[in-house]
Amino acid sequence: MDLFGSFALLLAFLCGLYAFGGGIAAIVTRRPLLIKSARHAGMAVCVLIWLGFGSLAYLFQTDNFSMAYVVEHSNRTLPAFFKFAAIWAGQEGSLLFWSFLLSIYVFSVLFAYRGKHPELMPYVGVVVAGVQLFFLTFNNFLASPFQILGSAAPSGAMQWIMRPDGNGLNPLLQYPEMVIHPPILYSGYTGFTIPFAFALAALLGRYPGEKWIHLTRRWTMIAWGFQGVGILLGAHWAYAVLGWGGYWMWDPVENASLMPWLTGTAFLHSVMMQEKRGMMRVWNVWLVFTTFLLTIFGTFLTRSGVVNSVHAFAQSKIGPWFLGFIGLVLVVCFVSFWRNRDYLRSDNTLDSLVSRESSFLFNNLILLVACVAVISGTLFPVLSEWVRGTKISVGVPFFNMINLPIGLFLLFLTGVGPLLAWRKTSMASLRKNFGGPLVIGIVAGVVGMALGLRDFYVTTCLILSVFVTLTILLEFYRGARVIASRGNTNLLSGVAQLTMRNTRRYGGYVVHFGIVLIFLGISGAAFNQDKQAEMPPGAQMQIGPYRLTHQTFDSTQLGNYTSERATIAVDRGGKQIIMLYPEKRFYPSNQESGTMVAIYSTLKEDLYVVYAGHSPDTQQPVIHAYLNPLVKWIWLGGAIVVLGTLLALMPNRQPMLALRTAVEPSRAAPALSPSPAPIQHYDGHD
Amino acid sequence: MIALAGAVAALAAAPLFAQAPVQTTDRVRQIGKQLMCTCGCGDTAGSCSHPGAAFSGPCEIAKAKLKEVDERISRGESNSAILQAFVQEYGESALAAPPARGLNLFAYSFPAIAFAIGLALVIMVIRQWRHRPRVAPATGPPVSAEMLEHARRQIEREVQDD
Repeated sequence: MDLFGSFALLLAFLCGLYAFGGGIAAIVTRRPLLIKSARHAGMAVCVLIWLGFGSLAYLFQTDNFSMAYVVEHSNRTLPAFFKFAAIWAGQEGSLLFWSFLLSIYVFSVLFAYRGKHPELMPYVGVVVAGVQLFFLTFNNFLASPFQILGSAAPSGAMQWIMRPDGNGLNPLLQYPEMVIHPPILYSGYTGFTIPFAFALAALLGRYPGEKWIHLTRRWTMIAWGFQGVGILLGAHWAYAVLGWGGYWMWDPVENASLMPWLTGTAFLHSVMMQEKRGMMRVWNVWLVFTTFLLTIFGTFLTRSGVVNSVHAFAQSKIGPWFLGFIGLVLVVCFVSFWRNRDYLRSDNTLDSLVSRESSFLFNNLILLVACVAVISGTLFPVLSEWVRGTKISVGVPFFNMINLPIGLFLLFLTGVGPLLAWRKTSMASLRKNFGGPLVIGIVAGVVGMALGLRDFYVTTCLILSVFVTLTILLEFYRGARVIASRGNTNLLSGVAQLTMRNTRRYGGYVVHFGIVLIFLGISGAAFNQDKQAEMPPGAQMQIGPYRLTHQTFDSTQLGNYTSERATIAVDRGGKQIIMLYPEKRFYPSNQESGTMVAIYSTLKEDLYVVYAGHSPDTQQPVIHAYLNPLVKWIWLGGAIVVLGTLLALMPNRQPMLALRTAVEPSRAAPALSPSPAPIQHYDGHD
Repeated sequence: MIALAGAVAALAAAPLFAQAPVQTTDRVRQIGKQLMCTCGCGDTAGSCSHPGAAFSGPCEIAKAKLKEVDERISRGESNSAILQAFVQEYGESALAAPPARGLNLFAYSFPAIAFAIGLALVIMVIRQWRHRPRVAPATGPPVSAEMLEHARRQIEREVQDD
């Protein structure tokens, strides 16, 4: 099976070469048969990658310890569930996994648009084949997961070795969330290849109009959604497993996943300017290019050892290849842009500064500044080492200081932007849309301050959260009221109809509401408390309103680990509310430990209890308890963002308006008709 | 809305539960959170949980730093003097946020510079868009069906809400 996998990947590489070279030849010669064969080669690449990936999965499931990669990341006692997750636990497997997920996107695109858009698709095929070839180079020649263990026999000939057992999987990865977090995050990373390929293809082929935007909108949203969910799942994993009481550490690997998400978010907004007004064409193309480059840059950071990270793969020599690829893509993008820049000229004017258009400009500016802030903080240690010879640390306090104001400004724009009209917004409209929510938001802030809120950022976040939520609710209410009054239905049904008539707009509002909840949840961190104490059985600890009593302590051998578990009774106001079982696991195969945090989670706060192990000094069990307000709002907000994204991906139930098709004007008609075809029906509002 | 009001109330009530007086141990942790731990956890000395190790508390390196902070507090040193002492002993890499001076200013000011450049670009783009010559009333040949169809599509795009 190892040979099968190797050959499948080698064949995929060869087919990729044909898809790339044949694709270029097809573009030059315009021969239909060549176009078709290049497309089929592209699809064959995908199928062969699936076979290669499948064979690696088989090798893990069958405990084939003649394979170096399987030995390194699995062992016999590892549950089958985690044997699957072990595929992407190391450098080689995760790069194959990247190719695998990318191939799913590529196959879907090549299959879905077969025979369509003949001016565009050959270019798309060439671009995706180029990207696939880059990763297949790793899978075959630089970081193959199919390397066999061998040693020199006394005769000097090489002989295969089969180890009796493997080293096992890193305990930090033996957590159910870790099985789904990398696939989802990687689906985000790889998914951005599709809008990149279409953007570059449209530029190279001078494909007319905004068609490529329409074609890639859903692909971009899917990638963006996966990226966002992947980031949140990673945060939740860090929260539930690492046992440090937090969910975001501004670690370089976390930052690497955030950067393309930020530029992708900017793109999802600015793309509307191009669709509606034919503006920001240059900007959009470069936003897509940047987002794709940041996905590659992110994985370069993770794998090159350039920056220190708890999540990073072992330092390897593949970094220069990534840098080379980034440089090559940059050159291709820049040359394509320079040669075809006249094709990207905007055809409309800005009517007013107070308009949806200008709000999108500012939204994009702030998102890009946030991305720059994350990049500069992440890379500053490298820069300082390069210039001064010492690596300066840039930790959580720095990132919080820089990003908090940026985040709050974005929250403000989340409330303001969607309610500004296209072209021009009148003062009356501003007052109508924002007056009430702003006043109520300020009142909420004043109430918070009266109750003791002193943190500037938390108070501002509170005011803005109330403001944004009310603007969103008002939008739903006004639209639903019109529908309800016209259709003699109730308000709830009106909301449902309204949402289904324009899923993109109202799905977007739902996403914005989810973001508000995430901001509220994050702001709770200003009031985190924690206590750590040696707690032999019978000992008690008070944290906030909770009293923790260590009742018993046990140690058992379970599966592939030994568990030490504390039983903690939690009382509140003299009444027992829950029993918590924080756990410490020891994995003998790789001599590492992992924590299983026990969390009592409510909407108000999380009681987060860690059994830290025995104190190295006194050998007494140590309990570390945290009281983290509003953390649940972050996960709830994430779920609402997913819901909103799914809504926005759905097609509209019925068109917003229908215009009569233009009729050939009579020769006697005026030169430019001042009145276009009449609007027959319109249920929207703005 | 009720849930949001709940969140607002919880947020507003949070300071009531926060521990008011800062005791010595809390001060040690506070200062510890401004010092990097160097065990490889990527966290600060005040919050090192040393993932993967047998003990999920502060590692030996973090404990040594916290102990030194504690000793300096008992000697009556101020927070900034303690941090400065660590910088002198271990260099600027001892701090979780580099002091805003010299080359470090670059890290602090880069986002602001990016914002300023971006803002200038936005203003330039807006001026360009606003000063673009508008279409003059047509006096030429009659409008073709294609032009009307193009205009119809544009109207459709622009009035459809997003």
